[in-house]
Amino acid sequence: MTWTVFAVAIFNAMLINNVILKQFLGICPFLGVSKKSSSAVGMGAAVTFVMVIASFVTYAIYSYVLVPYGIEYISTIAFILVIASLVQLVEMILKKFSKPLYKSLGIYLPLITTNCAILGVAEGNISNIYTNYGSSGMWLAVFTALGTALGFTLIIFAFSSVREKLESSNVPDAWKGVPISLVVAGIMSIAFLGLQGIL
Amino acid sequence: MLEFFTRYLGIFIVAGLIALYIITYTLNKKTPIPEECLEDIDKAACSGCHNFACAHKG
Amino acid sequence: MSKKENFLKGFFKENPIFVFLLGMCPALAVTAVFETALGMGLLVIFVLTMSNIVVSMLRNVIPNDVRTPAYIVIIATFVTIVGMVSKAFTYDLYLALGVFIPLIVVNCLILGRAESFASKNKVLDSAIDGFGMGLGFTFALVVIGVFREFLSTGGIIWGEFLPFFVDQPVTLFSLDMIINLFNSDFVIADYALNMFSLAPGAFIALGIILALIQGKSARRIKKEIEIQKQRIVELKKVALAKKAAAAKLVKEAA
Repeated sequence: MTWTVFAVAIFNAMLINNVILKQFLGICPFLGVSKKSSSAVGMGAAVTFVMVIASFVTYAIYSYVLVPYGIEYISTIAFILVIASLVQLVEMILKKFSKPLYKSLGIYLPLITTNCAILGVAEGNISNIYTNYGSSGMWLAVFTALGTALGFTLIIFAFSSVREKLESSNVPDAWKGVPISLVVAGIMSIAFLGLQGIL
Repeated sequence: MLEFFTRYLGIFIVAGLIALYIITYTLNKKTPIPEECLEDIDKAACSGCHNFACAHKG
Repeated sequence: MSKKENFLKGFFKENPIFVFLLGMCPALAVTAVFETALGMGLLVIFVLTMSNIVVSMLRNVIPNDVRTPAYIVIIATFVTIVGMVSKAFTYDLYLALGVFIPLIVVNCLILGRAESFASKNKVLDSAIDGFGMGLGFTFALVVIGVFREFLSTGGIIWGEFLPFFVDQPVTLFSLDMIINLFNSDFVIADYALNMFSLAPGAFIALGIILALIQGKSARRIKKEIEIQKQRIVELKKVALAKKAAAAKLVKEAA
């Protein structure tokens, strides 16, 4: 695979098939954590870190353990357990060895186990990339995960900036809070719909 | 012996992963949180799903 | 709480999507069509009921320290079962839901019910709670699905993804049928708001529905506050009258 394939994969996952606005994964942190832009960036960094490692590990387990022995049907249980233990492991290591890193992104890690974006990307890699490339698609899967995570960070940061303005504006009672946020997300999604068909 | 292992490999893998998760979970619970980060954790608290009993709060 | 209240609370008072905003990912992703929303809801009902039953049965066995891993394993097992069943019997639904079937594992609703209800209550109560909450979730999904499908196509179709009761997809309801009585060359598809079947429409439709609910509850709260204010004014009046009467009595006695 040439580098253009990876560049296209990153661009596609980040902007065209954006994880929040197009695939609807990770809506919980999108609505919950994005009230301040600083915490949005921390959350984005944590998600990027875990998503890249998790998709590498799950892809490897799927193609080298589950497929050779014909036990693909346990992939859901195996993936969620791998992701959950990975999150615990990373959190523990950060706690022990790197306080500044723990302070900036470690505190968001407990929220990630039940973040559907991580598991969703791992499962999506299997159904989109493994069926086409087999076990040689490992790096493509990692780069797709990187692009997805960057897209997540971009959107959650942009959305938190909009939301900081929204807090101080005069919104009708019925639309305060989540409803107006969803409509704002819808308008952002219309903008991203315009990128459809670029590649 | 080998046949026995390959036939029940799925169960063994899942059991191993459960054991791995429980070990990392308990080890992580035992590792103390650095003191200067304690107040940041409240800030990070997610209000995403209004889940009053979120497993990751306790 | 009686069993009936326990069962019914999931519909309106504690509706998972409309009130607690749990499980927003499937609420946005699979509701472009009414049928996929219903199918997703049915799968969630099964997983939620079964996981609540098992968690409740094992509530005295699972050590407190490792309860989250245990719940995740139990839920993942039932999700795998549900995935296999839907692949076998409703393959179109399985394809349409795609990655969102395995993602039932990380649905906050199911883990939340296991944590907050099933781990503290008896088996029957937990089963009722799971079933009721699952029905509430399905109800919310179906409301969103009907709203979006109606706006984007002008009608409701049954039989495309859930091939039960019919062999061919059947139009349950369509604006065409009504308008064609007056104007026969009218095609509703030309006028439908196609946006609501796409990604932006999902956000906007859910936003509109949540705003309707929030507006209603805001109005109710306002009314309640006004009623309470009036009651306070009346009580004040009564108290003042009593005081005046007492003062009068004191004066007369003097």
